[in-house]
Amino acid sequence: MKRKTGFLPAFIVVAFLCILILTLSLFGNLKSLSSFLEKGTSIIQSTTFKIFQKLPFISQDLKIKELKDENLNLLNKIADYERLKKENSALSDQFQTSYPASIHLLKADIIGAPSFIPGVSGPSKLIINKGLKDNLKVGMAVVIKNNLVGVISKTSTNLSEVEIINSPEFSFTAKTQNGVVGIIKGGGNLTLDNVLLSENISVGELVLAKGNIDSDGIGIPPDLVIGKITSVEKKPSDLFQRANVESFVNFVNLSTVFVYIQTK
Amino acid sequence: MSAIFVILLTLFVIAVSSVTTIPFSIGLLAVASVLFKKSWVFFLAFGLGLFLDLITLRPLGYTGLVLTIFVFVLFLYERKFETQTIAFVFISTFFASLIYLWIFNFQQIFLQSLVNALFAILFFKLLWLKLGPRSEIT
Repeated sequence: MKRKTGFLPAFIVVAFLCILILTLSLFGNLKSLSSFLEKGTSIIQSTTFKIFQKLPFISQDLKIKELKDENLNLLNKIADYERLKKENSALSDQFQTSYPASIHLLKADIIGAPSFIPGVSGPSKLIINKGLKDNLKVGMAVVIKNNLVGVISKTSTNLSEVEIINSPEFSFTAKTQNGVVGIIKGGGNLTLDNVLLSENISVGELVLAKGNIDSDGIGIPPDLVIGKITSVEKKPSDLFQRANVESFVNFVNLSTVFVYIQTK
Repeated sequence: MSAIFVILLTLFVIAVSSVTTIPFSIGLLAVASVLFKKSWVFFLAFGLGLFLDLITLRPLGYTGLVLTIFVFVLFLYERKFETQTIAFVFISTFFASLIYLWIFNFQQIFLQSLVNALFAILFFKLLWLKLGPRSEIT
């Protein structure tokens, strides 16, 4: 069999090109080029994503979707009610209130949600069509209604990557509607971990974000809904108890999200 | 004819890469490397890598470098072994996918690599049937 040996120069050329581009990219010298190329690739990405969303085995039944939306609205009202109750109590105590900083939500369309099997397994990351040019920064919270979807983990000029709450790398402080504090951890299923054994948590309780906004106004705002507790694991021999939490957000069928931008 | 087929497969891989984390590009490159044995496979790796970097917001050139090294290793093996076999395509795609998914911190890496290797066999059989069992298809 005749063998080709002339591949080494091609390899050296391509490898050198890759290293050169990588170096320039890491030092931020290719922002304008990547911004230009992103416009083209994002069209391909969003078109494919939309086509897959319309496939019959991926798109949800309309009736189920309506019921889920209604359920989400009712749960949001419960969360609002709890927040108002606490606010009212604080106001009664102090007879004054600090005006919350102005908040606005930026609508972003999801253009990519790669998962192992599209429509079956949930994604761990989302790609949205807003980026640095829209003043998005790493760490900003992404929501749908009052529910936390995730945080921005990477940004480019036109696009951003959102790490969703189910992702294994995701963890933050949360509290139940009764004020019990724990740490939410992703990894396929959400768990509320590091809850003291002395605390009482029960199935069906809402889990809310405790909030971790920094001095620049970036982070997860308090009282966003994470989900509800579906089971509790409490062993007397353990130091902490943990609970499994189910998010109300259907990440598979999500097409639009909102970025939480809080100005100082 | 073979060029059209490769272009169609490449377009399919590009489209599917936007919705799935399975690295179909590795399967395509493995098949292209063992069947065509031409230098343009490196440029295909570079192009696919650039596209993947852009859609996943990685630094440009990162994925391209990984894919280029993969093609280089396949070409090295081609000097020693018979590579135009289903077993070689399966094993090379499986291990390359495993490394790729591990480097880029994906989930369910064994299952994804297995699925990718099976798809690579499908690509290989399709191209083999279309182009015939020639050692170096132009």
